[in-house]
Amino acid sequence: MNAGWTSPTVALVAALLAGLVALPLLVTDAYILHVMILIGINVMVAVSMWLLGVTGLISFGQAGFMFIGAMTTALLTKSLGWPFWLALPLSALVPALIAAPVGRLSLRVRGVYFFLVTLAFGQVVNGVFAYFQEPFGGWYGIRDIPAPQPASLFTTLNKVPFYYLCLALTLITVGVVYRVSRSWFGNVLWSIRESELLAASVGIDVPGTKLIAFVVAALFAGVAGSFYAAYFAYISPLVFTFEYSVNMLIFIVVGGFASIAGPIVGAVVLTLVPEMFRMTGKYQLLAFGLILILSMRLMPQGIAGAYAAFRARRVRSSLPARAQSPGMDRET
Amino acid sequence: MTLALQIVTSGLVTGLIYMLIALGVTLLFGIMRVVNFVHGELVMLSAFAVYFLGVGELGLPFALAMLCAAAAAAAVGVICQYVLFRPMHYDILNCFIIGIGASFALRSASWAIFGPEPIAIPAVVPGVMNLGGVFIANQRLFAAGLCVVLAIALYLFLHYTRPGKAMRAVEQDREAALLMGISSEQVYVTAFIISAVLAAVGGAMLGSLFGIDPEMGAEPLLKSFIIVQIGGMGSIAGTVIAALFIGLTDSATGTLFGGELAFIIDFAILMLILIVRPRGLFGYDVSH
Repeated sequence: MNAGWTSPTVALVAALLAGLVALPLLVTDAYILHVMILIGINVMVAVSMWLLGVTGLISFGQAGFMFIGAMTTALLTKSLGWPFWLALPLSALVPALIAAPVGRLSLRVRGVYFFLVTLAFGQVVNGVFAYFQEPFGGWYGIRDIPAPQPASLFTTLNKVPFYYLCLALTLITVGVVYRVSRSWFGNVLWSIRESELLAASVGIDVPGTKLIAFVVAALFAGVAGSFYAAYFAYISPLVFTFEYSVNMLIFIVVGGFASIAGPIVGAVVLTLVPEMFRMTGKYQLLAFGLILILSMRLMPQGIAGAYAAFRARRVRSSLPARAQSPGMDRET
Repeated sequence: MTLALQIVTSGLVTGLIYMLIALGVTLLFGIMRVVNFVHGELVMLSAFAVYFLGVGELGLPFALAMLCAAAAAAAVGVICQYVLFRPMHYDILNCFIIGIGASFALRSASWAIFGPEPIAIPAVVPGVMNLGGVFIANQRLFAAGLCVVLAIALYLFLHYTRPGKAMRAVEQDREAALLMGISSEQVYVTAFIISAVLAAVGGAMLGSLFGIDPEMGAEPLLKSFIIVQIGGMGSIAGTVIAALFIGLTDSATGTLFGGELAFIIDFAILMLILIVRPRGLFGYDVSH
């Protein structure tokens, strides 16, 4: 794990925050703001997925929970005419409520079995929404989802309000997940990763702890989905696919599992790079597949892990010579 | 009555093909605890191989094209083992993730190379048979027969040949097998080859019944995951029973309510199994 609140880290985070808040004042290009919003959505989902990933479990149903959140917002605001601000908390709550029984069942199995069950769950959410034309819109999805209120502010052409909304939601997500991962509860999660048996033997309710992490992850995926629906005004089963969940996993693997910086760095880098090269659709999958293989082979601790190792090496090399271990133990 | 029989026969045929593909998944899992995500892409690639060898300018006879495709699939399988799974030390979670990467890369490369036009392998035995009012395409019977023959061959191989016995020994206790002078690495290579060959035949059969496209590997792979989980990972008998069961339910729901509902029903069955018996029908303890 990283060193905690050293002053350079605080300064860096503060500067980054100031930059993010001031960005719309400096940049007026709508495209750049759009990319920033995309990054924000991806960071929310990746970070929520990472929280459960801390215990060594990866939920391949994350896109499914995001879809449930997006669908809740779409149905409430479009069909029932609710304001977005009421739909948003409900869109977080509904996936969490669904996650509770699903997690209770799927956490009965461990490791790769859990991967497979959550994978199947994501497919089923997608399948159900695609199967029922009423009220989910079937394969065509739902169009013309109303923007948040006041409508005069959140217009299609003005990205700035959406940018600030996205920034706020992302910061809340990252902040809460960070606090949780650093709390007593977070320590319990890490202990489960190290040794599930040992954790259970000192009286930790292992399934219960995992379940809470699973539900919290679903909750924030729902928030991301809700924002997605309001921002794009269009959702369909072709968006929230298994591939989407895997992309989130790739963000975490490339960024690194060891700290919350991992999923954030991964999401930022891997959202920016395809945008810069204008890669689309199938070719992006090709590139992401290769990136996943390469980073598993060459950089098993991700960018954040490699950076931490680099810093540690610099500190160490300034000390008197000492036997160095490569320190590349594999983590997932 | 005829409808019921029709559902049962077509369900059994699909179930047998799924069985062949799922057997490859369960074999690798049983022996080295690897969930091979590339398996579906092997299915897809060999279907394309059979098509281009047997239908294009080459026009090889089906059996020869099938053999070449199986050899190619085996080669890809072994390459995957050496490049992906061995460097991960066959760690189950890492292998799963890196396998997804390879699967995505292969699938989108196939989109780029083969394009989206749907093609199909022509039936080896054309025509339709009338079995007491139930119509069934000869090609389906052929596919079902081939699957049964291969499954029996796999059983005989595992129980009556030296490499097969070595495989089961490694499955039961890797270290004890090592002490008996069985190289587990060699057994792994054999297992990857067999698994890839099963995928290749499954791919050719799927390609001749339902057409070929770069996405064709995804659904059988998901189905195999559900099947091996219901049957119990690593259990051959469980895989056979679960595959036929899933084939029948798919056929019934597909005919009565439409194909998209079939997957939801499968998942419901899977969830039910997890509640009642998390290790599957015949599986090991799941404390991975």
